[in-house]
Amino acid sequence: MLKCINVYMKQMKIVSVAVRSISANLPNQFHQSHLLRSLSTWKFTDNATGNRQFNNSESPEESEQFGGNRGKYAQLDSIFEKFNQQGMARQRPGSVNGASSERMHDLEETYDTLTDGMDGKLMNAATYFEFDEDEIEKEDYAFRYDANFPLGSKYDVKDLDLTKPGVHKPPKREEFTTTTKEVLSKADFRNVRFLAKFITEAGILIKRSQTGISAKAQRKVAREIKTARAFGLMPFTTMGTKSFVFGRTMQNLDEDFAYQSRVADMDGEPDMEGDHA
Amino acid sequence: MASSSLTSVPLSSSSLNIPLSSSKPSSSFLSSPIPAFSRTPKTLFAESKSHFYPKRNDHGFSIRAQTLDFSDSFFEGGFGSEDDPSSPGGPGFTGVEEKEEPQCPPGLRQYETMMVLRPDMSEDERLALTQKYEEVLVAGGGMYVEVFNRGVIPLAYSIKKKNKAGETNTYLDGIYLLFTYFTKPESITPLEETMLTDDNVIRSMSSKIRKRKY
Repeated sequence: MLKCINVYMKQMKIVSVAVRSISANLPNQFHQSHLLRSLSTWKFTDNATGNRQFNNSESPEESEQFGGNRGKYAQLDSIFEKFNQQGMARQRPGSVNGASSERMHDLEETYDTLTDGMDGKLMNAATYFEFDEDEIEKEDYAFRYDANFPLGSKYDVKDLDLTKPGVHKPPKREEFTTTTKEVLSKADFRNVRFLAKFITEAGILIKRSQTGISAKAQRKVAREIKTARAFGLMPFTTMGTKSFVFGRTMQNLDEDFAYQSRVADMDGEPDMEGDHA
Repeated sequence: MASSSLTSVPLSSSSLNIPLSSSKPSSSFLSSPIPAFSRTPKTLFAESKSHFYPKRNDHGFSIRAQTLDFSDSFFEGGFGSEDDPSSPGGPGFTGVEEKEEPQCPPGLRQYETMMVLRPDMSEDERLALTQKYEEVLVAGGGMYVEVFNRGVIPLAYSIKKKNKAGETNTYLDGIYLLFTYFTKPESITPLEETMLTDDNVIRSMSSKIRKRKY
């Protein structure tokens, strides 16, 4: 009898300790679940010992057992209340999900397939191609070593054929181009600016094939240049001196032989000195 | 046009701070070629930078003068300085030419004479020379004499010339004048002789104007 009573007392203590630990660890769900599992195991042990007591106990012991059962149920009720609270907490994100779904419905009303945000992605995909940054270090890397395409130059597809030698294409220099009609209408010994384009840096007339004008126009240009030379408007030759530039004096000024560091003020004073001299 | 050219000269002289008055035409000429070649001078000193700004304005003025004066100029793309008050500008020349051509008098032909004068001549001397040659042309039977002054232009090479007194001068610049007139063919020879004997004329040439269609 006393042994049975002692066993009941021990079980009561264990259950009370479990309840205290549960209340202490409320904010941590992990700990709660762990403790719940341990409680379930304790229930089974409690039932087993209870069954044994039923087989061996008498009427006064039964009254004591009823009291213990009441305490047990009360504790279980508190546990169930906590479970309900957890369920309520779980429902809150559910309600939030419902609200987000409503927002999606609102968006669907204003959505268009043209404004689905894919335009930017398609543009990026069309204007970019993936390349391997380490392709230069690979063994099968090949390039054309005998041709160079600077910025702005054009090339054909056949120029990219690596099995054939490359053709060197130097960039075309800006040259003076004119037509026969323009020459015949503009060539005049007074129009020195136009005639100056038909002489070299040394003052020599350039050949006709260089400008592509007719023989008649070339003769007229030559005649007008010679007339301008007679008037002192154009030089016979500038070998040994600086090149002829329309509108500038042919005096050997110091800044004419200097580098590209001219100042505007310096142009007037030396010329004035020349005039004085 | 005369007013615009007159206003441009003081600006250039003020910007260049040249005390001599005789140097005005060359100074105004000096300012005009700079925008034509579109040089970008690099200002290394603050002093030059302060001078550079008014000069740019002067360039603008000279550009306008060019466009105004030489809409139908003989020196296409050239530049000029003071015009003679007796000589009309581009549109005036165009109007005169249109009027003159159908009224060519019988027995006369159209000629033009280009002459290069000494650069150190003053305006009064140049006007006197112009009147002198106009009288020579009229005495020889010339009509409708027009004079165009194209100002001082730097020569492409130096010209050494000896005057009657035996002095030798080397010219690096020249004043270019162009006469257009109708006259008898016989009067060209004495005109050329007069120009050859004139000490103020460095180079000269007379040519007949004939219509060409290219």
